[in-house]
Amino acid sequence: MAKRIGLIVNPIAGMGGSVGLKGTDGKMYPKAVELGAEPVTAARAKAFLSHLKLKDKSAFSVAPGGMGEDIARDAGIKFTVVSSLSGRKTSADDTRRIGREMSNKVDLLVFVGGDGTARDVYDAVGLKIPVIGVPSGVKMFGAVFAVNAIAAAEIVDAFIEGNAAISEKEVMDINEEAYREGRLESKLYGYLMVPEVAGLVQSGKEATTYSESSHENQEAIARYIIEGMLADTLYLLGAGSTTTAIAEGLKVRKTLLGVDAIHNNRVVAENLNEKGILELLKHHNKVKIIISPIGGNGFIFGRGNQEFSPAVLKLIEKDDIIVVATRDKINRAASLRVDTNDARIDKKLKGFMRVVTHYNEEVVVEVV
Amino acid sequence: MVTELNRNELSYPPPSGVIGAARKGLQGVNRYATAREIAELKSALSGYCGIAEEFIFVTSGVEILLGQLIQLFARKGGIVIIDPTFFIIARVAESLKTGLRKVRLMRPSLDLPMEPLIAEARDAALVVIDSPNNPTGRLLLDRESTRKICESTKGILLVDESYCEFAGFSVIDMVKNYSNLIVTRTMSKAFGLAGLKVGYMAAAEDVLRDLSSLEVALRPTTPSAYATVAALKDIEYMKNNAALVGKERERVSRAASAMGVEVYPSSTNFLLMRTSQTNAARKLKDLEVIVFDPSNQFSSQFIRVSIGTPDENNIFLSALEKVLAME
Repeated sequence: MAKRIGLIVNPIAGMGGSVGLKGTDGKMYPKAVELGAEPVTAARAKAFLSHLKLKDKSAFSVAPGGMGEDIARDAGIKFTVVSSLSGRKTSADDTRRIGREMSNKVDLLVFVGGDGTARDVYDAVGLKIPVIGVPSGVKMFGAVFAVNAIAAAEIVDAFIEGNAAISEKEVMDINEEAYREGRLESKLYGYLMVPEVAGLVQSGKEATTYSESSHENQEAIARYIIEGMLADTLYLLGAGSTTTAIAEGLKVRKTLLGVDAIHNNRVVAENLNEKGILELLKHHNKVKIIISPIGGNGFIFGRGNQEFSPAVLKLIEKDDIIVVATRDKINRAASLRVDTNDARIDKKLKGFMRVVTHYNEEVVVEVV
Repeated sequence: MVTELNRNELSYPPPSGVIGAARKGLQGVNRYATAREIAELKSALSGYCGIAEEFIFVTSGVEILLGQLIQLFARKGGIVIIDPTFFIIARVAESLKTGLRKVRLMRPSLDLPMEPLIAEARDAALVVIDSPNNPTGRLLLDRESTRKICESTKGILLVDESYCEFAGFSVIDMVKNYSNLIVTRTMSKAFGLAGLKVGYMAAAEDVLRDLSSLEVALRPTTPSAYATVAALKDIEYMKNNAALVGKERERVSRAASAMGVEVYPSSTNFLLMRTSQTNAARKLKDLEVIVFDPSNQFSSQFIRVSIGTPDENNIFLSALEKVLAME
């Protein structure tokens, strides 16, 4: 059966870049237009469609007007239009509404935009269907994007052929105000299921891919961490699906995107901010942090996990930081990275760290 | 026609003497290889390696030997491997669940970080290092670092030297000085006998005693034994091929670098490259050039290409050029 592919284009994404605005979130869009910004997403969407080889093996559902329909018509593909536009200008609400409708109608949703669009798509579809981003925004810090439109076409072709592996990837929320001022403040916003081209399976001898799913990998990590947990020790569990697997193993609830505290197998605090953590640290002298790299580039502190601020990390020994990551995730990150905005803390964390990658399996990785 | 440059084989056939010897071995193939035939094989390897026969153990292929050694020592304690490493080493070690520590080569230099390695090696039952390393092609150990690891670990250091003939460097003689050193090698690479699958190891007697119960089960076949003895009588043939591969490797490396590809220095018959294209191995496959895809060890921009004949290498280079020109 033909694979059903959805397409949503954010026509204004990326317009801030050329005029130095670093984004078109909120009120910045009129300003970008005033500064003479040109739409860029249509070209990216066209490049994506023209490089797609298996167009005929798929059925397209596209968003109306400038959000997909016009581009699909130019590209000469067959399609059906999903929903209609609420007004002359498109908005984040349109993306969310159309995304929700598509989540019942397509096998894979392709969106063209930036981090802001990724967040709208996440709000609409969550983990219901796989999603891939064609990068066209100003900021693309999340891992849900292909490197460019052509790579996105390759991934979609692989998905249509059944040769794609699907894993959860982070959607990041970058503070645009701060970014305009030259600071990078980001936090984890959610997860999308993202396909990627699976490693080439060659002749028997050379088949090197793992047969285990990333969820099974996370469960094995969780078993190992739980077996090693000490009594009367406060465990601060950072954000992410691997740390959530640890909470599931302990049969306690975990805030997917926040920091929770566990003591003697019980949750003692949920969704902690920096202040909450510092308060808890006053009452506990045996403390361990369990975190996973966030944002696709191996960052453990500084981009994501920002609740663990320099003030918190000052009170924690490096040996009391337990890093967890699936084998696939750690293989993709060349090194672990820290960028806490505090040179002394960065220095303390740099060098080498162990990452728990499976049951009783750890990788020693350089922290840069 | 498909060009296969993914398995690090030698692209040149063995000399007629070796084929004749294998044929001779086939004549008695209704029988298992005899103890005398295995003794002759050991004696030939002893001469080639400069190590007494008592230190040598022969098997049908180095992969099965590596697998057996890892399983054997995993019963005694933790295993340390490097990352990335020959994938069979990694997969066997990962399947055991008895304690695995991987020490990652530093990026982008791909240097072996000695300090954390020594720290992890201290209490391990077995440390496995392939040097030259696969898939990076890098020679990771010299005599000094080998000595340091042997002296600091309570367990065994296993060095896989499958590509040592291309590197022109080996630590195999050090098994005479270190009772906790094992060196494994193969006839599949520079000697070009991949299809016969002969591997061997050198180690002190204590280690070999641990393996003695497997000696009969792991013996190579009779044609393999005869062919190996013949190949070891013609070292010049192997050396010429290794030199030819080295010359071609440098040519391919220069040509790919000139195209803007990042080529890592290699002491083997293959090259690790980083291209500007994602899914580079798949794109080459579409052009009927098969290279090894290390995308679960690095990113999908990386390829590992075996050095073939000059013609095969030219086919690879022109396909690479086409892939790089893709939008």
